[in-house]
Amino acid sequence: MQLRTLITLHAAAATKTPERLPPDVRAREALKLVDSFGECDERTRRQAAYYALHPEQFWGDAHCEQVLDVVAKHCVNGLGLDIGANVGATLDAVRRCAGGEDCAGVIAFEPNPANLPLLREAADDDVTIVERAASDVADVTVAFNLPTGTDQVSCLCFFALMALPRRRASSSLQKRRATPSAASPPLMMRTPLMCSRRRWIMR
Amino acid sequence: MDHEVKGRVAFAKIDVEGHESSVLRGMEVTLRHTDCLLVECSDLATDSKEPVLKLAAFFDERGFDSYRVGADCLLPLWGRHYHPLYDEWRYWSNVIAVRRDCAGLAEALAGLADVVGLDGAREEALLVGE
Repeated sequence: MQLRTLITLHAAAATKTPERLPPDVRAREALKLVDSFGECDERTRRQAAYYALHPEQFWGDAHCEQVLDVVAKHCVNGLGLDIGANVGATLDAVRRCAGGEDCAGVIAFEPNPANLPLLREAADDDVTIVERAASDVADVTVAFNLPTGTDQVSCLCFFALMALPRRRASSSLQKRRATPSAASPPLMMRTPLMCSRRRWIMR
Repeated sequence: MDHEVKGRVAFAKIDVEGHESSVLRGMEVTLRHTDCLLVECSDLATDSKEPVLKLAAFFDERGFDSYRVGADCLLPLWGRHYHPLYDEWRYWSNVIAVRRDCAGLAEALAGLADVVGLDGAREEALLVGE
């Protein structure tokens, strides 16, 4: 095993040990971990050590509020984009960061038909819903993205869909390649079924 | 994206379960008149795992400062501020990018990016550790 790998493993274990080690030991190990990647300037080194010592601070999005408050305070009014709007839970935050009541409107992109009824319900008059996914390719894709923690159900659904006669599956799920046109502009990907984090893409 | 969006974008939130690079590549024109973006970076094995370095470089080339969003601070990611540890230890987290010429907002976010002195005891320990 390479020396750097050994140092990294040891230092990582030490820095991740919750308060059982004295702060100075954890801090030393954090610096050792950071230094094992090579040289960098002092400020970056300190910031990376802070990242190593506080992994809990950089996980999840619950703590975004403070940053969004700053954005809302300093933003110049304009459009708000909510790309991956889901059921519209973040529409208000997007509007707030685009100028609040004075914003020029919000455009919400959401390809999952299952989410659209709730999204429409959550959307105020200034929200334009685009029922497509944003992408850099013009294509039609079927994505199976079932909720996490439902492995058995997911597998059943997957095999049930695979078992469908090919013609029927093709027509019901709109599984086809697309050509750019007025009805299907480029840079868009339509995704008829996309629920959450587990994903199978069938082409 | 560029077909749908006409006008200046004050703020964009992107939460597309690992496909953020495709979305960003598809909004090149829109990005030119976008002030600020919040991008969710997923750490899930089933999602694409584009390195944070690549995302930071993408924003840097287009005139944005990018930060990893923490509970009490922002970690700058662009240029010399990037550290490989940010990709070695990946979490489900967010990256915020702000256009450099949006002076007020860019300065306000830069003010949150100072971790020195944020945690007095640990900062002292870091100094002792040397």
